[in-house]
Amino acid sequence: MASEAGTYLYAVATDLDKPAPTDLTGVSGGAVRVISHSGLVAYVSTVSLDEFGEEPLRTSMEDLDWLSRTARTHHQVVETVAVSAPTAPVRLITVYSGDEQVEDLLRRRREDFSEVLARIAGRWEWGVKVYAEAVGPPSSPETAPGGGEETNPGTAYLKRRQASLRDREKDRRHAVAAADEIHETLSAYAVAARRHRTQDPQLSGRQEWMVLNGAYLIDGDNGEEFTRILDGLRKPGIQAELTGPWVPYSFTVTADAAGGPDGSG
Amino acid sequence: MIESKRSTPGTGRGGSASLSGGGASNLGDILERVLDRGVVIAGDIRVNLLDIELLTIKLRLVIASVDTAKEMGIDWWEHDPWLNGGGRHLAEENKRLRERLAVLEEDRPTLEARDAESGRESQAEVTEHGE
Amino acid sequence: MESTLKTQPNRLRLDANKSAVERDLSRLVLTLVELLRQLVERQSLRRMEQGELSDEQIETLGLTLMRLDEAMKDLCERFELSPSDLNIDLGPLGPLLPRDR
Repeated sequence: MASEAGTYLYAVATDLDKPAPTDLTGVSGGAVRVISHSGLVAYVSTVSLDEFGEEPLRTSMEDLDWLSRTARTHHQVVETVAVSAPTAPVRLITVYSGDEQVEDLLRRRREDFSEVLARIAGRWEWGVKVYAEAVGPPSSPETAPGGGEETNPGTAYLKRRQASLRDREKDRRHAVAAADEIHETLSAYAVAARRHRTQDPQLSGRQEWMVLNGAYLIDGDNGEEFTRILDGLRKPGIQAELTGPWVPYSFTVTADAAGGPDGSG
Repeated sequence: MIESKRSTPGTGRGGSASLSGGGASNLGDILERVLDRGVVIAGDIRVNLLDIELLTIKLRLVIASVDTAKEMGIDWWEHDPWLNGGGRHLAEENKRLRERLAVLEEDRPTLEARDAESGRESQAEVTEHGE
Repeated sequence: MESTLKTQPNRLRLDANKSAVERDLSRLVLTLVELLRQLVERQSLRRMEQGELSDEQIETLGLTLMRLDEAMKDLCERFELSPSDLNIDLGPLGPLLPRDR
């Protein structure tokens, strides 16, 4: 089978007529090139369809090693090019059959891209994750039967569970309310805000329960102020984690793909 | 305990080549962004997984494991008294069925009697064949 | 079982990551058992609160649930899983089990 080539698209940016990156390596080792059209510039690299065709992708997408390698490279390219011009990242693994098709895309979707790029120009995305701290295990030392309840250990056990479930429900409400409050305050300061699905502990790498996974679009100069505002919202029982600045991944969804208005605050 | 973790100093505009610390960024955060966000365009290569979510990938990994689990000797639940209640029940049921089958095979009259009891259809069939 | 894996090329990827597979599987099975355990526990508590159960029934249910809880803890230890591992994120539906059981 002949090895066909495809054009892998990383991002679309405003064309500021800057020189193309020279030493940027893309997924599977190809050099990153630019395709300019309609005042936009697309960052692409050539990939083999032996790796990025439909069939091979079906299996490799499930290979976490491959996926993380590809994701990191993709992200690295996006971050690098975003330093010099407003950049809209394209979702991982968007492959065209050739450069002409990418050019055609820039022509057809020029208005969409321009609109998105205008919205994010000079702004960065900050991520805020809020975790509810694990409640102490006051019930576990008592789990073993005993403590004067020898006669009815089963009943004592159920009573303990009842109390601990009530405590937990209270903690949960408290954490959710705290998360709502933080999101509201940060949203009011941000140009736009999004509340993403919370990550499960396997992904976040933390045992605590995530109650907020927010993304906030912030003007370039206001990162420190944003950080201060978040610090002011910290309180006992919750942990707030700040990441960023990111290329505005969460705010470059074009209208027809997003299926909704951009930003909730 | 109040804790603040940040993957980069808040440089705001990011003068370096890498905004959020590149390789230092949490893989989960990166995957979440590159897979779930950004501009969605249907490329020429159909990735049916365009709308794939992290959850799907993870669950697939876990579920794919089930097929191979027994080959790998992970079958402790079959021996665990807490978990094998159903298995024991099945074994007993099996034994009962085998015993009953033995009786049926050895004892023709019993078989015919049961057929006559259990449904007219089988009886009719027997009659047809008989005539 | 090792040899079975070797004869099936498509299994090799999993073989390379055997411990992760074992862990994932144990996690999945224990998650389902834990889900059932919690459902029964909730139901028992609800009925206890509504006064539908006799003292004797409460004691029996409590003992059973307690023993199952202990068994789950043993199993979790054996597979080096923490209680919070026994949960699956159902995305928009939230976690399968409530957190911090």
